[in-house]
Amino acid sequence: MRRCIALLLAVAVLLCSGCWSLREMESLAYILVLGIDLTPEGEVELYAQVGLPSAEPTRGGGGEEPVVKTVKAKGKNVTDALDQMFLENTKQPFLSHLRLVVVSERLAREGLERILDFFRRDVNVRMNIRVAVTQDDLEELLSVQEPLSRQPSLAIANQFFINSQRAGVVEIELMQLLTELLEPDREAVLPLIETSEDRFALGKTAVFRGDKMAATLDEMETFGLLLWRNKVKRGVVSVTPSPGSEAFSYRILSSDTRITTRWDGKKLKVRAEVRTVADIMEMHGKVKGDLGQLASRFIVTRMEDALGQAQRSGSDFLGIGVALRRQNNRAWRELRGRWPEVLREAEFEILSHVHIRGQGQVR
Amino acid sequence: MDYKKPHKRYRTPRKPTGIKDKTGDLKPAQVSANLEDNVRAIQNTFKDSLDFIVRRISFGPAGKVRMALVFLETLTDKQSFSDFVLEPLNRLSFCEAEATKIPGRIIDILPSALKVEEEADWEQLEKKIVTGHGVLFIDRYDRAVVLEARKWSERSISEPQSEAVVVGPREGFVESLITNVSLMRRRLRTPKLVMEAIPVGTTSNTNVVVCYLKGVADAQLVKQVRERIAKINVEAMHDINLINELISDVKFTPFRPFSSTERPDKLAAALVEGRVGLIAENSPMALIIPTVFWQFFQSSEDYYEHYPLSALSRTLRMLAFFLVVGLTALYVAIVTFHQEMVPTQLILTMAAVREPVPFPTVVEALILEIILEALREAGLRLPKPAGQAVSIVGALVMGQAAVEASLVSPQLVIVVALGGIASFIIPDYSFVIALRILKFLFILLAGSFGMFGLIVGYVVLGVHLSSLQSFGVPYLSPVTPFKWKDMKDIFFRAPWWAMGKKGPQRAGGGEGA
Repeated sequence: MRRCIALLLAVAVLLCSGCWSLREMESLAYILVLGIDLTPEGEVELYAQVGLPSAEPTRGGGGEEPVVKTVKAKGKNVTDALDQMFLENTKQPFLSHLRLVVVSERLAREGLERILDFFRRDVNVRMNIRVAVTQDDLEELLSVQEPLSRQPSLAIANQFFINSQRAGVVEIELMQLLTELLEPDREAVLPLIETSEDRFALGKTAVFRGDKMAATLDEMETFGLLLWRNKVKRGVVSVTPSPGSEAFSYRILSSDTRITTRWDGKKLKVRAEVRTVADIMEMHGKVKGDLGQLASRFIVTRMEDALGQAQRSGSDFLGIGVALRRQNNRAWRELRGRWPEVLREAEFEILSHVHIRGQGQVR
Repeated sequence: MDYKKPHKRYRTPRKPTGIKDKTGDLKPAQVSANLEDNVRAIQNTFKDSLDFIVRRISFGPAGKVRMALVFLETLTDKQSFSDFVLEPLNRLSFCEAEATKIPGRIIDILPSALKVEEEADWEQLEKKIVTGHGVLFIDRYDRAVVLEARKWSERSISEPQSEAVVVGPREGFVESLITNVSLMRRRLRTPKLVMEAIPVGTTSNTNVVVCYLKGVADAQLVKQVRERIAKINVEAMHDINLINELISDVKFTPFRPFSSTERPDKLAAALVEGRVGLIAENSPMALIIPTVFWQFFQSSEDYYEHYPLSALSRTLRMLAFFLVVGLTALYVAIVTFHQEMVPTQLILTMAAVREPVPFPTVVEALILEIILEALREAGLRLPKPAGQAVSIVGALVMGQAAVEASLVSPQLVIVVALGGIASFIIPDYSFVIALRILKFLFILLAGSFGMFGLIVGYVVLGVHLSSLQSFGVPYLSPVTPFKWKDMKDIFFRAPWWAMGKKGPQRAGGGEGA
């Protein structure tokens, strides 16, 4: 008897639960890339790149039908804008597959804090999505159809990946961005995306002071930035020893940067040491001088360029503050109030040691 | 050992009704000394059967000694009667002697090729006739002589259908009890092997043989088995699986507390481990008591092959368990509740294919599973060659057609097919049936509550399994309660040099008395 009742209850539970939070996958609008802009009126405008389900997964190369659609919505903040998006959509916007958030320059200069709170709180948004800034038109950016792959979001993700591996681009995930914004000893950077025709171009970086964008770095300065931050893993560097002479290229096998700081009460002394192990990739004719030294000079110049930008914009995105805090906390606490000033007055010593291990297949 | 009492219906045996009440004829209680009375009485009972034969014999000077041999020709060997009864009797010579002396001499004279005994009770006599004995009535003697001369046609020993192996013996049990017993005797040639026969069934009188190794099997266990079988109260026992429910601890579960096997080598191995086997007349299956859950993942082949192979097979079977029970359910759960777990490219493709499908995913899954089960059942009933073809072709064609008609999505077809294939990996057919039942439950759970429901389902399953017991042995031992020594054969078979003399895992209660 008890068994029957138990069984009946079980069946009742199954039937009455209303299928809980069940949703069929074709009823969702999968937002893959989110573009955020600020209207002149101060409203948040969202551009959602929604992936259109397409039944032919195996074809690379452009198909005739579109694979993405851009949906716009405006609101007082991100949540409000998303809410508006529901009204104009036949499917339910779904953020769990979001891969990239692109922020317009206008919003970046106004301050990122305006929009970051939502991403921190929402349960669907993953912490490892990439964030980037763009100086171009958001709508145009989001409708670029990469000729080599089907889904642009996946294409961009791949592009980021292959370039960060070769020290070409700064790759920042949401978690990292938040850390950099919240920690007092460092400043944030974000990669810059540009569109050229039907492709995405990476390589430049946007530098922040607090949560507001302060300056941009070009490709060479970005390399310097990566060197300072010890984010160079592999990559190829081409050096022109002097203007007019032939360039030679080497491949980085490993690269390690150490920053040491010393505070003597009056002046901050910073020394950055870069150790690189490299392999020669290409060379023409005779190169005057020791290759290792020429490469080192190149590295030092790049780092100096990046440093210059940091001093000018008053934003320590290189990790010097981090190093000081770790090595001499007391000094850091003392100096943190006037850090940009300290940076400008500090003494820098940049050393680079490149060890050319091999020359490829040639003996 | 503790076990729940069987339902009270089976606890006290009813008095058997017997044929006596139905026919209303008066039957003698004893054999009478008058030959004609006996013959008349016996013909009363059997006269309507075409295989009933009464053979009158008279020999001796002037035909003074008269006898009647009564038997059913379908159950007995007429030739042996002729050789061992009629011929020797013909060659004897008697002077006229008292009736009482001759029967004594007859038993002495008859060659010992036949089992010979005397019987006076009428009911027993009738029972003997229907169990393959011939009855010899002698004039002026009040006891009948019962001669055993069994012969009937039976299936010859062939490869077991449901437990085929690539390597190893190919003999399987047949329906004849004697043959089966002989198969066991050949494998365990020790006087310790006991084959106790217990008749079951008031009308069918089927012999159930309890076999065990005396001194190796737990005495308590044997006693319990014997008692429970004796208490069985059914009209007829057609197959050994009938008594499955009747002697096991009553519990509402799809899992059987015994394993059954068609292979004598498997039964022999089980007996050596200290288990008890049940063989029955007319059943090509033998039951093994007690059984633990992990035995359903074992197959004879594991022991005849090199041990890395058996490790691979076992792992595959454990995986198959989860595939059968939970694969479709997992798919349903992820695709309807947890879309964030699916890779982006895949979900876009799946969403595209699913758009024209009118059913929710759960319903789709249930439809496909029901079709699979239907095809499977249909394939069983059809004659062998057609059966296989219909099952496979039917599945493929229907699957393809259903996909093209946008009734189901192709991913689900693959998932369901995988589950179907996985169900053939597990060697024990009846066990898989239990899993297939569970599969439907899990799909419903997954469709209602997502992964949460699935996990709850697994937890409940685990709890349920640990609460089961088979004749006092916990169903999940030796994993719980944990016995390190017995773990050598659960997840993979340890190499023989590591196993010890007795071989792999002992039955829970299998310590020798």
